[in-house]
Amino acid sequence: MMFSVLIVDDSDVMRGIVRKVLAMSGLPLADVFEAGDGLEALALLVKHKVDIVLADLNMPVMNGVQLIAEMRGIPALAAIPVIVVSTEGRASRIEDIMKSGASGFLTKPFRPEEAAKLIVEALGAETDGRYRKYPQESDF
Amino acid sequence: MGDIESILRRAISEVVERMCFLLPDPEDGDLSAEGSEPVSASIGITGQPRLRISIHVDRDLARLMATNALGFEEIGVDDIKVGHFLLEIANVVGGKFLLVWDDSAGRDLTIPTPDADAVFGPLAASAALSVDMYYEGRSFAGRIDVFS
Repeated sequence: MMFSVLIVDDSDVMRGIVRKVLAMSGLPLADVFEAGDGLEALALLVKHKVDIVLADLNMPVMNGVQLIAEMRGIPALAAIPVIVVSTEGRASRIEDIMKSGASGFLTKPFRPEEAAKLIVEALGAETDGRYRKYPQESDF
Repeated sequence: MGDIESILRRAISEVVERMCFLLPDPEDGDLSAEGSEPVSASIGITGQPRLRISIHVDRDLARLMATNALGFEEIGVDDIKVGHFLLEIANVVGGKFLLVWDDSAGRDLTIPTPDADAVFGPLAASAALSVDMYYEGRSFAGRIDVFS
């Protein structure tokens, strides 16, 4: 089964990099949407069916943590998993971000298999394990 | 400072390998290729003392890195996109540096910028170090300035 992803990052270059890593991951992707900040992401989420969001932490207008809070308050979006993607890798900061409702955390730079594993786990937790069979390292 | 130099070198190496799929040239390899004008990006680390990490990358190498990271299907990685890409590289190198550095508690990264003086203003550094690396025979220099 294919699924749709929304990449949220204020850098179009970083969105392009994440898009390429996703393409390399072997995951069955349908649509890959992009937004430049949390507010743009919300506008896009109400118009399109998105299965999972990959959001940067530090963005103007609405950052990644604020986006998660907004989504959790909207019934139609509350169950969509959000993986935070950031340069921040320190354990204490990641713990804070996970407490805010993130479904996972990816520290830049990350490998395709790391993204695949986390996305599958996040989707599996929300979808009765439909995507639990993720690509193996030998697939890359 | 020796420890900081080692952390910076490792951060650059890991970021370039993971994002751009390039390994550094062996230190005893042929580094005689003529370079092009470098592209630069800098990022600050707050706290005391403040640190500024700058990278200066041969333009042809920066273009190759951007093309690798964004995909070969990305036709025409222009100079503007190369500049933006290098800002992201500086940002990720800064994040990697903070992750390993044992004095990172309470510190944060600033916004990356192509102008080193824009990070903390045109201050004189109290100490500095640099690392010189090569990829595909082209230069990738990293520098840390310390502002006490």
